[in-house]
Amino acid sequence: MTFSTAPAVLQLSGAAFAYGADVALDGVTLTVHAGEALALIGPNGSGKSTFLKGVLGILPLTAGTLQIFGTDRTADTARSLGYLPQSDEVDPEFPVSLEQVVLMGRYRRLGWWRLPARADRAAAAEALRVTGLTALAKTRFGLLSGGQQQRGLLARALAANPRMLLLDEPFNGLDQPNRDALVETIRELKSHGVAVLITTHDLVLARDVCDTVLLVNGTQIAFGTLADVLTLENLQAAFSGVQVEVDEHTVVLPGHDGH
Amino acid sequence: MSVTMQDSTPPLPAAKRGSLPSRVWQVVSCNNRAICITTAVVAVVGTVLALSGCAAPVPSASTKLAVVATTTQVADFSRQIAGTTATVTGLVQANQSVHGFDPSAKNLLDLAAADVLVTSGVDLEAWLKDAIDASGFKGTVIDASTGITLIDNDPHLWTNPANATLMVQNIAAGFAAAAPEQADAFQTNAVAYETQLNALDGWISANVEQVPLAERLLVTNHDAFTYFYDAYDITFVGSIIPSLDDNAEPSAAELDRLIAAIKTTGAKAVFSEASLSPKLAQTIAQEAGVAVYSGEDALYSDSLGAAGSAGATYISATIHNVTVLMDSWGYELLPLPATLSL
Amino acid sequence: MTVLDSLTSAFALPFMGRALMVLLVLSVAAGVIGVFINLRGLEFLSDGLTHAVFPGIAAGFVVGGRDGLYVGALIAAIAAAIVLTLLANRKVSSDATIAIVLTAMFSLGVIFVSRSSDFSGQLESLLFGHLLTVTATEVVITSVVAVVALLLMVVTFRGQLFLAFDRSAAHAAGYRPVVLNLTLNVAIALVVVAASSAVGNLLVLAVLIVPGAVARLAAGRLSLLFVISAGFAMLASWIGLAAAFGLSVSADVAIPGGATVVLVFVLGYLVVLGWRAVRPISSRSGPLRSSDSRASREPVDNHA
Repeated sequence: MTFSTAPAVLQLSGAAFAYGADVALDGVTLTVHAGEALALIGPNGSGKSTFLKGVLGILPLTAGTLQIFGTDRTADTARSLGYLPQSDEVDPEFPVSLEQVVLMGRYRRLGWWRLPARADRAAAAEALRVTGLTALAKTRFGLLSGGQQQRGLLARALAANPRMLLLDEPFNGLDQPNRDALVETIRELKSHGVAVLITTHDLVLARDVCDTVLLVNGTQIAFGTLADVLTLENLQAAFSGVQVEVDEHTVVLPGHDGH
Repeated sequence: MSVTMQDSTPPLPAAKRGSLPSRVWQVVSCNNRAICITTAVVAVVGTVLALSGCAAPVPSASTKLAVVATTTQVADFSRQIAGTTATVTGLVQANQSVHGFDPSAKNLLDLAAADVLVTSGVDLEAWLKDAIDASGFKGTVIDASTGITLIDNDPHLWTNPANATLMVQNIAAGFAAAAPEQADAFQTNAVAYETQLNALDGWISANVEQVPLAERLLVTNHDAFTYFYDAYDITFVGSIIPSLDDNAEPSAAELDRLIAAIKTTGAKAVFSEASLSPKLAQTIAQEAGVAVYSGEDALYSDSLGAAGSAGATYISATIHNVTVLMDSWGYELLPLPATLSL
Repeated sequence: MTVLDSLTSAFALPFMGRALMVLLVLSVAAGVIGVFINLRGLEFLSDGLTHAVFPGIAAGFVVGGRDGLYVGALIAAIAAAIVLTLLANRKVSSDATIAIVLTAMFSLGVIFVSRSSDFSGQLESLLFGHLLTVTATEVVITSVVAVVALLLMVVTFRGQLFLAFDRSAAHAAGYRPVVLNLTLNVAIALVVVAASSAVGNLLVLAVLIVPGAVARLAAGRLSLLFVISAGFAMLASWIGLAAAFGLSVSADVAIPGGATVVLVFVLGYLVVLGWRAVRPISSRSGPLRSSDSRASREPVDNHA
């Protein structure tokens, strides 16, 4: 499948992101088109979350260029991005219901004075439907299971009708049924033209869902299709000195079967 | 994929999209309990405010002059002058600090009901203006310090019995002006009291004159006795808290200076004050190698003693002070004149 | 003077009415802000701000008397809020930073007071307030400052909520954590300033913290938290003031007004705590039982 006819939603060239003086990731050059899914792969601390935060604008761009939806970042850019952070940053005791959490995705549209209108509640309800959580809307968020919370945060990201989704380790802590559900959801979003950036350790799921891969280890090692990127040589460069969980399903190049 | 949607919010009434009533209704129904509790709280507050508009506590009517006095000293003077002809209520109680006094509700009610307020003056009561404003006091203020010569704006006027006499005269005049029908009674009481104060003054002079000038040394807790030194030619060696206020903390340099002064002048004692903690005095006395007068032997300065103690009245407090002072100097105390025998 | 009199007709007295007015206004502002303090665990930061404002109060009082107090306090409040917000962004433990700023500022305040005029007896008034002798001007100033603090929270409400729940997502959505933190800190500092005449610098912390804590114990729903917090504060203020009045007038026990109110706040908290211990919050909303919270048992057929 090629997406060269779809518009580019994300273009980076020689981009670098830093925490203060420490450059966490540099040399990033890639393009993502509408409806495409990009997998970010690399060892812990390699800059995967940094990449997402850089695209979101949480971290500053210290070198190179970054264009989102064809232009430089504007005040409106954040409204078209949906973000699913790693869910261990969420306080389970917080007295909000799932529905209220999902509605938070609409907050920026509401400003400070408007009450949620029908359109906002409808968007939240739709997001809950897509993630299969409608029945739990009134439950306190902290009482949901890990997988349900994950999906709930995804619903929050979806409630704003984003054109690009950024998912940080979305498959962590999910059991198989929930993983399958998430994969389905991502596929549906892609079919609607939403671009998806996913950081993951799971090469199987990356292969199932994603069209391109960015391999990083403090700097960009490779970008391209799975076949191009996931070569033994690239993986050794990325994961040098780090134990990689490899099973017979990884490092499968098109036309080759296991080893 | 068939999902049963659970609609837990009540259906919106048919109204134009985005119209205000429908949006308000949305808020009301979604936050039912919040609104209920808010309403309840508002109702309670409203009831309180409404009921408060009803009968306010009414002070009991009385034909006697109602006097409120600030400090224990002027309260004592006021009582001596008032006798049974007027009621006197004190604000600051024995051993309470005059400087950091926070009036209670009862104080404010007493003040509101008072005809006359007696103050010690010289800005001793910094809280007084607010207390007057808060209570709605509409009577006359008698400043007992009127016409008295000040030394360095020190408010501890009463320590000199001659000043005490002037204060009594001011208070008596004020009472007479406020309640002319009882002026005679006040005058009689005042004159009798002044006689006692004169006798006190004479007795103190006679006692102090026994002591050679070089030995009339006094070290106190804070600068409360300026007028006393001045009246009887006593040398002030220094005070532990070199301030007119009892609340400060002395610096190390100040303490060193004091200890040196004690040693140089040959002062034999350090005096603590009845309303203050004796710890500082004890420490200094130990450092300087002199005696410390604290606890029952402490001086009465800012405050008279509690009822039943040795310093419950101005005269008894002053007699006590002179007694311990003479003891520290090592000279015999002369017997009290007849008018002062308690 | 019956108990009922203390609770109702006593407030017809001007000084009681003014005291109640001040407390009610403070209750609403501190009640709302207190919920955010509780949700984000900012109790120690609030303590830091309370102490950091003190030198401003002291300096303002020394320079300009009772009226100068507010000017000095406002300057110190804004400065302290800015400093603490910026310092929180560094990698040093924020508790250590707060403790250092807190103690340094408070010592500065004590030095100001001690080097001032001879009548430093006003220190107690600054620390513990003078609830019963608040002037009409002070009621106005307190109300204005408290309302400004409340408005700051209302205008940033959604952002504050989002930030409290999930910082990185809020940042990703376009909210700026530094601005929101600064706003919250300034709001806290303003309440400290507003409350300094009523309950004094030391006791304002109770007014900020207790209502939020009570609300959290009593309710599991966000919308209720703010209402209960402010409502509890108002109720406890009323009862505390009435108690100070009643005890003083009937039993001649002179307890300072501010301290009595704070004591009622704390007693109220203990009552709610005891009630909650007997009747724990269960999962009141939704079909999921609390015992299943960590098991992933939901069948996953409800998706597109």
